[in-house]
Amino acid sequence: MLVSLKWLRDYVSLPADLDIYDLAHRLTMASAEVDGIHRVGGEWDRALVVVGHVLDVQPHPNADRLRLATVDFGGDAPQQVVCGAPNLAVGQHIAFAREGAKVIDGHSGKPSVLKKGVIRGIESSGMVLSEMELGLSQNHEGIIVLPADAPVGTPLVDYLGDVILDVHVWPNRADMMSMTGVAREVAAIVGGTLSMPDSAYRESGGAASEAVTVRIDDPALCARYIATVIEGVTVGPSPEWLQARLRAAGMRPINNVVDVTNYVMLELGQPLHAFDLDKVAPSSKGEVGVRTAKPGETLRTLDGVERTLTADTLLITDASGPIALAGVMGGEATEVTADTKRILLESARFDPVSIRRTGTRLALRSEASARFERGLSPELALAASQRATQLLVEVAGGTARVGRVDAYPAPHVAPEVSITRARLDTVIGFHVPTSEVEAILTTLGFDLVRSDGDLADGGSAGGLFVARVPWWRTDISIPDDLAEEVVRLAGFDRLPATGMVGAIPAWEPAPILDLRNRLSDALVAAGLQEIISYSLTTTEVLERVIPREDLAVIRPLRLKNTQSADRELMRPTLRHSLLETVARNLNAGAEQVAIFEAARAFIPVRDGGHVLPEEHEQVTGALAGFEVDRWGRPTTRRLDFFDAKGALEVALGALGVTTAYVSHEEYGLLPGHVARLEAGGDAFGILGEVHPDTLDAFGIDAPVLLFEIDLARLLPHLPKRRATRSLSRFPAVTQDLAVVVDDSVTAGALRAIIEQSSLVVSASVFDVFKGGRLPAGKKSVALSIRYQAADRTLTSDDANKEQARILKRLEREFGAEQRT
Amino acid sequence: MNAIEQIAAIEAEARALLAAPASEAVLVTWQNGVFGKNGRLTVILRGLGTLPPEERKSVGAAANVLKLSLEAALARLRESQKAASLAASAADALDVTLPGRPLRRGRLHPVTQVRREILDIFARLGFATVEGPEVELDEYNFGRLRIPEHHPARDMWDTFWLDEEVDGRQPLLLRTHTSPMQIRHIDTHEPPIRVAVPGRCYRYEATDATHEWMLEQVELLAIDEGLSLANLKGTLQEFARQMFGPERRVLMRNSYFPFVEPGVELAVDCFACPGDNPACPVCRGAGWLEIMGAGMVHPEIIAAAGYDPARYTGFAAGMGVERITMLKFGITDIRDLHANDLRFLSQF
Repeated sequence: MLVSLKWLRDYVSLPADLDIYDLAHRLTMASAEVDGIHRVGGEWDRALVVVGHVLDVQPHPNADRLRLATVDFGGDAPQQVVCGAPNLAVGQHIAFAREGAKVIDGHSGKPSVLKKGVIRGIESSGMVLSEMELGLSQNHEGIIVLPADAPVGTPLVDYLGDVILDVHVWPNRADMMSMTGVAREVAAIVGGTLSMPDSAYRESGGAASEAVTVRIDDPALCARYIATVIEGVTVGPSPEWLQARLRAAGMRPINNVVDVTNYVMLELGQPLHAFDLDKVAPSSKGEVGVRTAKPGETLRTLDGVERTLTADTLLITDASGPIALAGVMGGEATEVTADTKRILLESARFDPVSIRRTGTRLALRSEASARFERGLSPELALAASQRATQLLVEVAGGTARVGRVDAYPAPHVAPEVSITRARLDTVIGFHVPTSEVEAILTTLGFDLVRSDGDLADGGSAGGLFVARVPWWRTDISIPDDLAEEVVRLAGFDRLPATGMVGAIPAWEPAPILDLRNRLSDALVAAGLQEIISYSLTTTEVLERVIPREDLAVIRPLRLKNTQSADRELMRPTLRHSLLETVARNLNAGAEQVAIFEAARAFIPVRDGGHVLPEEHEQVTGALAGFEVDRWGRPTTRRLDFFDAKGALEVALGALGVTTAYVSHEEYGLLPGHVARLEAGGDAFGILGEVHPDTLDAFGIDAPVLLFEIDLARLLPHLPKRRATRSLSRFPAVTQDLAVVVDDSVTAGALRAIIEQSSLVVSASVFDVFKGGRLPAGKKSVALSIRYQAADRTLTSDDANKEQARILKRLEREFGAEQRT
Repeated sequence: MNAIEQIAAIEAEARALLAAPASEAVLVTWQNGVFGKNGRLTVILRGLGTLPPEERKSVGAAANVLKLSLEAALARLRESQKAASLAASAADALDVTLPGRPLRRGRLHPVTQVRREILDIFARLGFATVEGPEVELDEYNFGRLRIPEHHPARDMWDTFWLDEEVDGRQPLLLRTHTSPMQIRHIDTHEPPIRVAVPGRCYRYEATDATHEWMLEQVELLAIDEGLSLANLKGTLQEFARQMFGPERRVLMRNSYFPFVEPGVELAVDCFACPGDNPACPVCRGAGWLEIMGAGMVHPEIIAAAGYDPARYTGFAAGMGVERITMLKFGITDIRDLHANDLRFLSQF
């Protein structure tokens, strides 16, 4: 909400030299955030932009649409300027800029310096200003006409300048959506005397109730409806003071009747609606109703849209049917126009949920609905009705009928809320003396019904504050609400910073979180960079990594509302995100990319009994690019499967997971270049080279290795305790063995057999060779085998014998032949 | 050759050897041949007992003199060789400014680094880390946090809704904050409760330098007998000091969230300037950095979970991990955190 300081001063006395930044700070601390401070007229030169008085207006000899104005601006001699504004008239007090002043150019909208010029042959050295030229609004239709008491020659900033606070009011503070509400807070926070607007007016003629009656069908939806009747009005522009205030609050002046309803909404917080009473169906005999819509009912609202109403839409009706969407928008048929003479002024309390539902459905949320939605006090309706009626009579002429129609089935009873001294002290954690509690609540408008807070000082019993809640505070209902009032006014800066003293709850293990952290750390140690990518993607992108028919089965979670085409589905995999990141970095010139992400893949589960989708915790990574040389420059060797496997071996090895790499096939990966990761016979991930077709789809023209680990599947295979064995004190013997086997025999299978020997500590492959003199389909695998016994020194003889046994076994199992 | 002649021969060999210093290997071989277990001099000394007494004395004396002088000469030789070799390698100095052999270096994403730092600090204060679902029910994200449908506070959390309903009625959504875990946790745990909840959240929001539609939060929840707003302040002041420096102070001000009462906003005083520098890149002259919303858990939430709100009170707080990351590292555009440009990420 925009709060004009000048306007605010109408309701609360503030020192002339008020420090606006201090006020903004204190408001922010205690009640509502001040988002911005704007100085109106801060850029107006005091000597050059002043109040002027139009002494004479003559036609321009050479131009029909221009006139010559003689302006007294308090200087030695009046000045003649050329002016094109249609509303210029003799006797007006106006905003005048002299030569050299900085103004906004009315055509370009940019700041410019006013120069002496000749317009159609007549010299002009000054300007009568429009709102736009002063930077007040975009309005360049005519000049600003100041009230007749504006002192000529006064710097305009002293007369029209202002400070506007942009106040962010929390959704629970209906009362602060008004100038008077802000004034109450300001008075409570910084002191100053409050003076609420006087709303007395003279009534004449018949009673309002003779012209209008009100019927409320459902008091739950409309707690109060007040109607007053003003007759003989003249609809036209509002006086300048009223327009200026609306502008200061960011609203556009329309006509005096609408402007008054808006003004009172800004001043008191109560949205109002004015009907043209002569357009309410004569057969109604003045009766208006408040009810929800019937099936099939329609209403043409004053924006010209014909709206079909749903059953829960709250309406104002006459005998002919709906005449307004209650609290949201009026109907076109009863709209106040230039010809309107009789006004029915509505001031009502509508149900916030109903207003919000209708406003949201019809996309018609407004300044008015923002107030109704917060839940206004029905007491406010009366104050607003009186004030608006008074102002209508004042600015639109006419007379107010006697009294009002006030349908108020269940009048408000101010609730009493209490808090014990013990509760107050517990919630705040700080003792605010009873006299101060009383002062705070009183200054905020509470009536203290009981206050014996000091009794608690001696013990736990007794000590109670009971406060009657002021009608405008619709947000106070429980004891802790009072605690908040006390602490925010006492000042949060007085609270001590106290450590907690209670028992620390039993620690709960978080195994997935721990595993994610450990695996991430291990991958970092293996040289991979963590990334964080978006969880949302599109069908088009997912189809690059998941076959269309699988996608049709998974049916990833789809957004109902999105503001961007690239956010459509919750990702059921992370693979595309890795590949997108690889592509982006290779395109940006990266020589090597080694990345991983720890995040969730979302798999909907639609059979009954499941409430939420499955969120699979994954750690997924990719490697691409070139190995670097001793100088860190890329070599010609591209990273391959075994670079990625090496990284995984380091990472999984760090976790103590014994991993088997089993040949595997998977969509999107290159056949023959994929391994399934298994532990204890359970698959927990994959590692493979991405299929060239998939790479094409991401615009990548280099091999990429991808791995994916499912944390929930890996978790059971984390060793609880590391198996250790003590080192043998006896020396080991190392011997090499090279065997020729079929290509299909894996090195892993050979090692597995060799390591079954009780004398073998380890067997490591050091060469794999194909071709040469070997027959096609055969390969030679060379292994270095380390023999060691726990209880004696092995001789080379012992090792030879064992190796011969091993060789026999390899011959039997794989048809292996020793390579000589 | 008799013993004396042998000794003389050894001495002559030694002179030649020492005059034109041989390699260490040659020296060692010669030395073993003379002083070893079956070395020539060793044999002579060992055979002293078989010599006639008159020879024994002179041979013994000559052999021992030679042994001592040779050992000393060899030691001197080695000393000077070592000195020469050191001098040579010192002369062939390394250019220590050349780069080391490159190892690939991995890093955690800065948001992860900061998230972990946050959670570590709270773990030291007794807050265990728990996690919850990113896809949530209206009931947990809003309803049980006292934000019923059509509550004006819903405007504070613009929501991504999923085109998916549970039991054909409850729509699913992407959680807008980590606060639903307050409810899930209190439903399954008894006070005393102290947990921190990290996780991704989503907002139906336009993106700019300070707003992202995907963000990470850390939520705090503490429920126990006698917890107060002052405890909230104390806990978060301790957090601020560990996170931003031991001199930090926290500023508390009024705020509103439907699931707390009283509701506050917490800020920390600027760690980059004394608070009076309008050009400060961190606080821009405000002197304070807002880092989280917080408050005392609303008694209705405690009661709804089955605990007596007269006995148990609690506090909750929620902070944006990206926001704190940006403050800590001086990052000015939040979108850099999700662009995954390795040149950017390699700075952390």
